[in-house]
Amino acid sequence: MIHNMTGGAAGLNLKVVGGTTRPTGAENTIWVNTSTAIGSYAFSAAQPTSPASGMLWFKTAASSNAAINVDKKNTVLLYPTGCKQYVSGAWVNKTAQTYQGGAWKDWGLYLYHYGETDLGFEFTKNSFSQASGLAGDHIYLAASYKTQASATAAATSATDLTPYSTAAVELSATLTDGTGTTSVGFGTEKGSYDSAFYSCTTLNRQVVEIDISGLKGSYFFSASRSNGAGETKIYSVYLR
Amino acid sequence: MKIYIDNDCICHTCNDGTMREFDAAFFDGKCAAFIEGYRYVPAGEVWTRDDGEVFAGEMVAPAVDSRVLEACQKQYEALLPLIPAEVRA
Repeated sequence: MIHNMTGGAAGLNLKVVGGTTRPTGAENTIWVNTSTAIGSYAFSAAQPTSPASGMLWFKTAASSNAAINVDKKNTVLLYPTGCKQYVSGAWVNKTAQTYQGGAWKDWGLYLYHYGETDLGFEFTKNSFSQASGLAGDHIYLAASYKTQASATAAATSATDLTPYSTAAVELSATLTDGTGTTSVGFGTEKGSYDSAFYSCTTLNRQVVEIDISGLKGSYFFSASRSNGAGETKIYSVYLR
Repeated sequence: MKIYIDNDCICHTCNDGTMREFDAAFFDGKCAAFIEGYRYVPAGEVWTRDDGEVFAGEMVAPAVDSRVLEACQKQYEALLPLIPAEVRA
């Protein structure tokens, strides 16, 4: 359902469309997945001050997965990396895509997305762990022994994190015996968290975020659980 | 490694009297410049970035350019063998 259409002003080579289903693509259409009517919108690196309800903030950076030529002479290039909407007095993260070259392009970058990955992962586990691998729509790490267990999923290649400020990881973690930890994050080597990470013992399925605004250069994403019986499921890893 | 965090969750190696103390294995073997370039959000707490993004702990993340921190740490590790053990302690 399309809730709002805005933009396409004279001289501007873009249209902003809001709705919970993707519209039919037209070149330089920005689709924001939202059920809230769109007010105005702003492209900026910093959070707009005094926003009105429904306002979209297209966060910009020095580069983007989907750079947009915003004027009809193709002389003004913007680099959007994230989208928020001002709803009920707070900025709420929204997914945005741009239709370019006949396809919808994510502004951010999925390292892993509900069973699909372009990145490739290596899975390792020791004899105290049950599983480490892909299972349906998630990465599955499991241990049955309350101590010494170790299971890891590590991206096979490093990703340049320089354009991104936030890693959003959708995961769940259980602990049925012992004291264990689930960690997700980034390191200079596969399976390492020597650069930035989020860690928990248990977590109901939700999106957790890691501040990667200080990470400049290429790093490996990894997820692991150590010690403690239980399951960890990683559903998506998104950089924005 | 014992660290201290200020109200913005920035790590320090010395407590000025206003900070909270934590033990964080992540910082074992790290030099002061590396540690003080990091942010540590304890489990059960949140930290809000300047752009309004909220991050839940436990989270460890660089607060400044990671390339600078890595260069400091490499230099520290290269010099470490030259520092007498009694001074290191």
